[in-house]
Amino acid sequence: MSQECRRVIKDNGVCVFSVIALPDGLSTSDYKLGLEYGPADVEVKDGYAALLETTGWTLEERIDLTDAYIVAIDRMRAEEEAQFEALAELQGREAVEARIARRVRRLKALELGVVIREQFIARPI
Amino acid sequence: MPTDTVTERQSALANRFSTKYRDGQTALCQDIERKVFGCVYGATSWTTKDEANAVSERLGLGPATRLLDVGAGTGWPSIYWVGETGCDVVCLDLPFEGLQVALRRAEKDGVSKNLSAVRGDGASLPFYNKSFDAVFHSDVFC
Repeated sequence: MSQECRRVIKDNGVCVFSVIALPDGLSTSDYKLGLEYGPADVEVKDGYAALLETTGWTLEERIDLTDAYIVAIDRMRAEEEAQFEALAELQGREAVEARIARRVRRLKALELGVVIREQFIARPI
Repeated sequence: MPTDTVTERQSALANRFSTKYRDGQTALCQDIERKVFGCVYGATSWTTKDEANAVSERLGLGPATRLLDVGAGTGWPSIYWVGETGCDVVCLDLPFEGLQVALRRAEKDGVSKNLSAVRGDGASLPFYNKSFDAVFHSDVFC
């Protein structure tokens, strides 16, 4: 996808994107924990900075959004718990319970620093 | 209607999100979204309103900007940006439902002239080379 974005952007363009990811330099045990509690679908092995470099981008800035993400996900968890019965009626009790449990695990991972939310600002090389 | 460029295989992937987008239109989910994000667009990413304002600056959005929003979902924050800056946006995503919600919201907000929706895959963008001034995606890789 990064390569495709590079193809369609003008030479003087800019790309901004955010990811929920594992931070660089985790120990093996923290890395496993991050995978367990972190993003489910995609693992970019060498990190997004390296991905940008290999797909024709210059990384201009990266910004840690983790604190704001913790606030948002904790608010979401609290609201979902407060509205549990109504949500269960709409989506099913098991689905809502599982989602709240995922939020709690994600919050723990964020607090442990094994998952982060980060923003990248990149320009074409 | 959103432009359809999607295969059957991709549609299966998109189905995962369809329920989310439908639920996002209920009063219950909109109430939760308002309390968490400070606005209501049926959003599924974690972009708050404060973050959207900061990203708009970083993207340099204005009336002359053509922006591609990959994995746009229901159009948050692109629709908001069109209203705030006058930029042109192409929202790209696989789930049809999300794009339909985005188009309806753009119409309601009076910004539909500046917003189009394309059903497609970020891994194979259905656009010409060098056709956008800016690209945005939020929590798509994860």
